[in-house]
Amino acid sequence: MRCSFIIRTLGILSCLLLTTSCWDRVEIDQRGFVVGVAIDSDEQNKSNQKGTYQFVVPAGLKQNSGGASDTSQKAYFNLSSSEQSMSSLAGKVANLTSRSPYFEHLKLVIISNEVAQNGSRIADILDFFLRNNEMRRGVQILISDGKAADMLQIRANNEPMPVDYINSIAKNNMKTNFMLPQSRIGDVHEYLVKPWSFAIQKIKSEEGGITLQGAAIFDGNSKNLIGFLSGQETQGLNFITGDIKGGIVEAKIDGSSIDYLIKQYKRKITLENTDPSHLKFHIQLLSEGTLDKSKANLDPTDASTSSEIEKKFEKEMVDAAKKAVKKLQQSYKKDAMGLGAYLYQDHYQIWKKVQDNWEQGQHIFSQVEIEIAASAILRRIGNINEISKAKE
Amino acid sequence: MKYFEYGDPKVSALDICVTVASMIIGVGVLNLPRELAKVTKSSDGWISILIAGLLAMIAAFLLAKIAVHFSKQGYFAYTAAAVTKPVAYVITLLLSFYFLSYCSYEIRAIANISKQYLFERTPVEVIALGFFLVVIYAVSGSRAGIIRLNLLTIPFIFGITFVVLSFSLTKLSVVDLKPCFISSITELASGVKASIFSLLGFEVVLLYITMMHKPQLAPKAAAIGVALPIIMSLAIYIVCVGVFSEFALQEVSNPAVELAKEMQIPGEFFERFESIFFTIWIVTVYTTTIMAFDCCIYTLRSMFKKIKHMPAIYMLSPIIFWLSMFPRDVNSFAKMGDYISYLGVGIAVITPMIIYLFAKIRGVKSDAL
Amino acid sequence: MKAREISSMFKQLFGRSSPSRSYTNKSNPTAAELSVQHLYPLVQDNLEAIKQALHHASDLVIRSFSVGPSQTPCATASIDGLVDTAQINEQLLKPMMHSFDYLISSAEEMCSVLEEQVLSTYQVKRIATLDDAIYNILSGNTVLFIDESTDAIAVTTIGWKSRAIEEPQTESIIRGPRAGFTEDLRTNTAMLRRRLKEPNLVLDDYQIGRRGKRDVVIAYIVGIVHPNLVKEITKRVLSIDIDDIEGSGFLEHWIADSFLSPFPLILNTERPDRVSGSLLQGRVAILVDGDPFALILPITFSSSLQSPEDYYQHWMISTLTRLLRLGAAFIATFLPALYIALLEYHHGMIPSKLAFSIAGAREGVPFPAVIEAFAMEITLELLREAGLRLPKPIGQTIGIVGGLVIGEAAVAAGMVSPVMVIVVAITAISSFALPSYSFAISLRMMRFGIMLAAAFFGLFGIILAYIMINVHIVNLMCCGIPYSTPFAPLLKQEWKDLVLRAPTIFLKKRPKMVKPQNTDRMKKENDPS
Repeated sequence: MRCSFIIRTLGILSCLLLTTSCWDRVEIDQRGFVVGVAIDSDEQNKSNQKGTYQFVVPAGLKQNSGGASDTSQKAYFNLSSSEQSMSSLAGKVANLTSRSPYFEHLKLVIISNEVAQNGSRIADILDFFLRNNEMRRGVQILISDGKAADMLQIRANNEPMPVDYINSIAKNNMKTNFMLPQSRIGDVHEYLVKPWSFAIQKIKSEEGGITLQGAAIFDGNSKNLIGFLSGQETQGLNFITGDIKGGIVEAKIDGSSIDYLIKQYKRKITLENTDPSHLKFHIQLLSEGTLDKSKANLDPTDASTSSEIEKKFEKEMVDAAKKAVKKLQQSYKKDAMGLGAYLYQDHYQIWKKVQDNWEQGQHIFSQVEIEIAASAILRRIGNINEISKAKE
Repeated sequence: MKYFEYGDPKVSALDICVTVASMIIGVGVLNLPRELAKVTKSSDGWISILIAGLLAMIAAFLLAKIAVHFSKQGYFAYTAAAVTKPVAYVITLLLSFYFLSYCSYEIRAIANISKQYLFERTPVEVIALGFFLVVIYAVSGSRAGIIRLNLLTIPFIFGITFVVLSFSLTKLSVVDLKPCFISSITELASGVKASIFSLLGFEVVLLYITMMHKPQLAPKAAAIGVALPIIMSLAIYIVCVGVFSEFALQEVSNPAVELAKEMQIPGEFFERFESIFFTIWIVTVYTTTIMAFDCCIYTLRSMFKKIKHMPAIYMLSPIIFWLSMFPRDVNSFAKMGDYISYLGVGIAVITPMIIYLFAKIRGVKSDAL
Repeated sequence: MKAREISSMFKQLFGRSSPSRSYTNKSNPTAAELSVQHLYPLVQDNLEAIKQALHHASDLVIRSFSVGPSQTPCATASIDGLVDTAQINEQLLKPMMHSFDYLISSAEEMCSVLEEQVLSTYQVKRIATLDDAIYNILSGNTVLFIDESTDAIAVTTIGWKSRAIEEPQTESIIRGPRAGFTEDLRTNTAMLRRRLKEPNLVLDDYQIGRRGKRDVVIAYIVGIVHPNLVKEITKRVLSIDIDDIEGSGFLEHWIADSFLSPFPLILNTERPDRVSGSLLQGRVAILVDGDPFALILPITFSSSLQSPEDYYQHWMISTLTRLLRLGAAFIATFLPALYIALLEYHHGMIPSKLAFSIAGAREGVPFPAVIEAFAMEITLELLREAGLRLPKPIGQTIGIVGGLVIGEAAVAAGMVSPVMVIVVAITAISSFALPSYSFAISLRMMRFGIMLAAAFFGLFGIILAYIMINVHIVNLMCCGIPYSTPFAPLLKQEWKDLVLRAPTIFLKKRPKMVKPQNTDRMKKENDPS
């Protein structure tokens, strides 16, 4: 009894050694929350990249929410450093700031076009963000036309930090279709693994602010940035990929513009000719929406007028789509529209025959025939019928 | 006088069904989508899962039917009567070793994944030790208590999986599931092999049948118990393919946990759901580990009747812990898993059937009514 | 938990068979001395013996008188304060002293005449031993000694003061009966009979304790309750061998299955409606003299979530309230631990805006979240204990002082963060929302353990602690029924009354977990009778 009692007590006391644990206990106010990262290429050393990290100052957030626009304490600060790889970059930044960088609330990664154009740089960069457990697959990626670090220093109207500002613009594709839907790092990972070209949201600074119109096109093979699409071309691209959630289509009747607000959108692709050397696609753009702006002396309730209006909108949609197709087929010769994916999913046998030459080699993609038709249904015309009945 | 016993220590058919389901659902289900995506094309893994599931259900049904024959005497006694005693010793020792290594494997797996998702600097050994101590605590209780524990924890597993899958449906793109039926037969066959390994676990019905009230209900209960994890694996697999697309799915290490990481609750109320998901998943791995340990002790004690319960636990615990820390890196750990699965199929699924044939030939007395 | 082995070891060490019942010896009676001590023939000798045994108690009242034409010396002995003097005067002394004119030849005839014709009290008993005489005197009866008689007569004249029937303080409800048990056993059994006019209701009476001789009543309904259950419980109650069981709490912890478990294994209640409801379900109730709390066993985990009010309100409200209680139990146990885990280990789980605002709020706080949480919880426990002892007028003020002022001051001084105060307040409110006080205090204890686990391992620690609690519950037995019934083993029928409280029409059968012999509560639908 004595002996086992002693042994048991010793055993229990030795569990106290576990109290040296709490290895992972870190106070929440000792964390340096990083909300945004911008990556540029280093001018001096071409193999390095320069990273700019945006840290949150929580006390500054508190003051901002107090109402007074007191700029004595900003809610964020930026730190930059230059290293060869992303992980050593994060390590170096830890040398520069009081609280160790903590990436679990990372929201945004901006990569400049210089970095994205080079070799497999973008894959290297994204590898760090995906492999490390701290980041989520919901982090947004943007490609900047220009220096990425400048984007983190814009004046954030109405938001405490530039990252919040950019983030919420990127989610606005319900109101505009000149920009791509959000590119999450998880989606970009999928694109990097799939064999087709893809598009990522683009950010560019304009007078006084930034804009997210346009798209950055990447090659499916080398995964490099090959160019940008303009706002209108992006609208066409969105029409073809089916990623429209809203936005305006503008048409002209007799010199004045009429606008169509898209509420629901669907696109259908069918393959008309199954001969691998002469493929013909037929893309159907089906949209429903309301009349957002009309002109004087136009009565949308009249059957013939409304069908005329619808035809105008349809023509606009087809034109925009054709512009995008022309740019992708002729200038870039890369399939960022999803036609290759459609072939893979629905016509696997044909895809197997053309997959080696789709975007490279014979460039079959640039030779396929793409026929686009649109249908715009005007469901509602708004609160008023005619704005004025002036006689000219 | 011990305690008053007018309550029922016997176990019902529902309990066995839940026990089998709980034993099968472990760390295997977390990795299964990736394993399938590596060998099959597109979303054809679901065919592999269904075939493997059917095979597992048949195997469970047959095993339970065999087990009905020794529902009173126990597995070791039956084996000793069917083939000679020394052979029975070898077989039961192998079975015991299988359960022992299964327990170690699960402990190491959960410590690895916890280290990756929940902890940064805490050493793997400490995580495993904490987990293991609670396992020992549970095993030193009563066997009926372990069965009841399964019953208590199963709703949480299904609940949290349902929540994760429902919230992931917003990210599901159905087109990623196409094209269908493009994989070849050999690819499907390797998919079946991967799925079978993750569906192992129904052999516990051999050892828990002695506790049943009505053993003749065991076959049906075991088959239904295997069906539940099949449905769950299928659902997780399809949602994973839809959310990640088969190309990226091959690259993601733990697809089910990444699903939880990706999901977004409307209103952004909770951000990183994978901590909650993984924490509740620990509970089911825990029940699997307890049952493996308990089966190991039970088989040992059925051979060497003189060993008492607690000393057996004290003797086996260091062995299990040492074994779980044995693999050095990811590859040797995966190999260890493979070996254990092969051993399991051999000793726990095929061997009882052979023994049954011998018993039938020799005319061993059976407990079945 | 090896509760069975521990309980049996305990009983082997301490259990004896039956309590001793001798009053005439001052030290521990041996077996030889348990032999019966008969009454002396002379009244004076009896009185002397009684005075000796009671150490010449100052409240022992002896009234000697002579009865009848033959002037037989008689005497009454009673304890002042326990007896109703009016009754003694009117029913006992008056008929004997005033109008007694029977001619008696023997003492035996005297006794029978007194019993059958003279004493107009409602209960008389013949006693033959000195022990019985002393017991009756101490129980509030009057013992009448008759000269030359072998027997004495004990007359029931109980008239002590006891508390009026009031609303139970710990279990007040909105709708339903407001009567609660009092300290007087007879009043309690009467209240039980009032609720159940069931002839099969059996009240077994025992005297437990060496020196205390407390009356304990074991109540059950024959035909519903399982006979083995009654046998077992009676055996356990009779195994108590100690000076005195001071209250039902003492009894409860003696006969419970495990003394190491924090969970209550026996329900205690002040409400007769709860007791009668449980008896009809096939459970057994124990009532102890001197304690208004009755014990009900066997119970399981589900009983801690149920309150009798659930049956008096509409079933939808009851169901939602039970869900709320489940949530409150969870919050009361896990919330501070979750706070610690989230703020120390898993900062990524908190939504970004909240994380930043908490980080900002905690900038000036010197203590880590663990210390803060423990300090606040211990302060709250101190406040709770202090509040119990204070007289009513001050109690309210202290509540306000403690809650508001200390909390506010601590936050303003920068010693704790406001989030901590909110967490602690919600935890306290949730623990008060539980209907069973013993369950709430066991949750209080576990909360600290889980906080410690969260401080070491974060969420992993919380889940390990949760599993440990599960394992403990699952291995716990209460009189042979697993404590986790009806969660496991799954009894589908019980779920109609577990979280969901089905409308009364659907509660046709008694719960099966206590294995009643007759499971029908209601008339079957096609039963013509």
